[in-house]
Amino acid sequence: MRLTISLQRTSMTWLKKQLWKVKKNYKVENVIPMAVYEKGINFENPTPNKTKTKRVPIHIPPPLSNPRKTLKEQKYYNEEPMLTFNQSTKMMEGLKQACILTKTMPIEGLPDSVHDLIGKESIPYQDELVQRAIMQANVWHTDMDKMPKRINKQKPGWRFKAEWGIKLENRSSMLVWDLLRICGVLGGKYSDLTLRRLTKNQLTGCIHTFENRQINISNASEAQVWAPRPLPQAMNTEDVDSTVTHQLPDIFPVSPFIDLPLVHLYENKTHTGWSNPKADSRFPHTMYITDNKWAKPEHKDARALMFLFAQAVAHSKEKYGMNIRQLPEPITNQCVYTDGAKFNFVTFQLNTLDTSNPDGIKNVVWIDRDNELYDRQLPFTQMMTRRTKYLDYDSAIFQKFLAMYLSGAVLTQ
Amino acid sequence: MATPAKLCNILRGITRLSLDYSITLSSLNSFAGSQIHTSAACSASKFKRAMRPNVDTSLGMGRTRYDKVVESMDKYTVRPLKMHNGAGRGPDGRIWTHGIGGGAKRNFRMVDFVRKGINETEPLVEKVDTIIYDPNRSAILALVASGTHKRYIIATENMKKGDIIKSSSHIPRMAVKPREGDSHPLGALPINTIVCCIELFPGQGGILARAGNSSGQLIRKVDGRCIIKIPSKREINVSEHCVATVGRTMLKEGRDVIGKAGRNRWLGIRPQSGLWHRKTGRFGRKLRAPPAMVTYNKPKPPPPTIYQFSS
Repeated sequence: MRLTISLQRTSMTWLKKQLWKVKKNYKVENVIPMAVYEKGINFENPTPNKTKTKRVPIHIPPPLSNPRKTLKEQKYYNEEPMLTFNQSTKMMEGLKQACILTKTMPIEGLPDSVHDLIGKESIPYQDELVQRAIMQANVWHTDMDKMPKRINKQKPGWRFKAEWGIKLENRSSMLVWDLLRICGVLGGKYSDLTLRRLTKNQLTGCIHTFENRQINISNASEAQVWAPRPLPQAMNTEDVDSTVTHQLPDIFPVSPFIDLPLVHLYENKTHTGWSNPKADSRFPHTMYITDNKWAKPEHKDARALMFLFAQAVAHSKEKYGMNIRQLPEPITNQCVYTDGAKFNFVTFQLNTLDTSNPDGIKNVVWIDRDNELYDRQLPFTQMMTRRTKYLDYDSAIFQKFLAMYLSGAVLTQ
Repeated sequence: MATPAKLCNILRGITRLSLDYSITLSSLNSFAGSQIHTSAACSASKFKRAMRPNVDTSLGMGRTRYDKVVESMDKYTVRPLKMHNGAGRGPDGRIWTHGIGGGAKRNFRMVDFVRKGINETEPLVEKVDTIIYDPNRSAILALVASGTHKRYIIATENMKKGDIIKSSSHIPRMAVKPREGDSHPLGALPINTIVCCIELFPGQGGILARAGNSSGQLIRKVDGRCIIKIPSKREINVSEHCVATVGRTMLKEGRDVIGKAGRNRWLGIRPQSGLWHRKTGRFGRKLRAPPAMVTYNKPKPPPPTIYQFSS
């Protein structure tokens, strides 16, 4: 290979750069004719020499020392750990375990007070509005969050592509608030609905004692409806007396305290939701709980029961004093538990606070579970946002939702 | 199941050497200061093997290692623990086993192999919560609970959710009626029962017949000793206080066929070289006399005194 040609070639770019270094700084002096000076006109230089400004040193404050607090420095630290129950606990025995802890008798289906209200009232363009709410929550909203990883158990080697869309927690909460807004249309007909209050993420709960051990039950539900007057009791006093014969379930050899973690951080007081005991519209009506993670149906039933029990106990302790055991009047409250497509309708009636013995009167819970408002069919492989199908809209489910909302405001025969 | 503390002790001994091995290398005369037996025949590979510490094989040193995870734990958990991929390397960073690497990630679950009652008379009663697939073994696990405590054990053939199982350590005068899933001392069981998770020494934890779809059989009892046929058709002689579970271990569902080469890579097995392969069972079996019976009289002696080469 001959290198002489390439070595002897002059580099034109280098030469141009060297020229430009000189040429760019070439200055043309202002030439003013002498006749102008003779007239006596003074000139001032428009481009005076720049004086160097003093640089003021910028004061950068040192980084704030904000170390993470240790466990014992936290605000709600207590030396004695307590059993806790919140929305992330998954009890092994599910509804059976919750029934033992709260001394309740479970009944399947809706109570008569709610069941009579189904189909009694209707809203103009009801089904179209609900279907629009479903599409708004699932498709039309502009959220583009990263979706969780999918797993196909039949094909474990399959890798799904990353997808962006609306998260489960946003999807379910959006649907609940839209449906509540549709239900509020009937406020012109029933004056009680206008006096109600709606709150979001409001903490309710209490500290419950069972077999000389304390459990801290607390929950901040997605939405909570507060009524101006308490709900009528769902079961008659004669039927309540007949619950003496009911026997609580047996879960031997498992203890009812299984899967309840011991925690040092807790607040040792009851939360009714309101600081002022004489405020208007402060009776608990319905709480709307939404899933943010996948859970089994038995976990959902247990959560709904425990939170309703804790809310009713907190309300009764405020009303009748902290050491109340036998209630003069039962307290009822309701719950709607959703994961965005399925609905569980739960009604609870607190008859006693005495859970030391399994004998005597029991509390009662009605559970109507697995009501599918619509079927959400995911595609087998990918493109979730486009290919997901929403089929089999069931109009009967919203009528149940509306009946739960109207209970207490509409007089039943 | 070795306890976490026991595992830590084993792992700390990795940097040490035991005199159990007779190291055979003539060039080892430089180690004259340390007391090492030397003999005539030698090879470099033998020396390397001898330098290895006496590590329990149940540590899973081949594909994945959970030594760091277990060392940080100080109590039993049901939570699946993360492991790091060892790729056939030992704690010294060199290849110990060839042909291992890659594959799907696996989590480690602490399995409790010790099953004993509350007292010598009172049995421990437990309820089966779920039946779980474990990627680290061919058997299937059962999550059982009693009181507020949960643990993993190895599931038997027909175990399902909601079953109640017992684990006792009492030997009655008459033999008990065996139920699948229960565990008893071998002295309490009738002859010809099929057992799994068999202990070699009392209180040690089940060691034999733990793989999927495997079992042993109790053949006879002689003077407080029990004779069992283990899955390799060999007979062993153990104490009657050794605990075993009644029944056969569960096998996982689905096919075991490896249809293509890529499926082996999912499991973390790398391709062999094309030159020479070890013959497997499909090439037939050589007819030999049955092996002699082994008696387990006394437990393993404690490891010998340890010498450190580095100061």
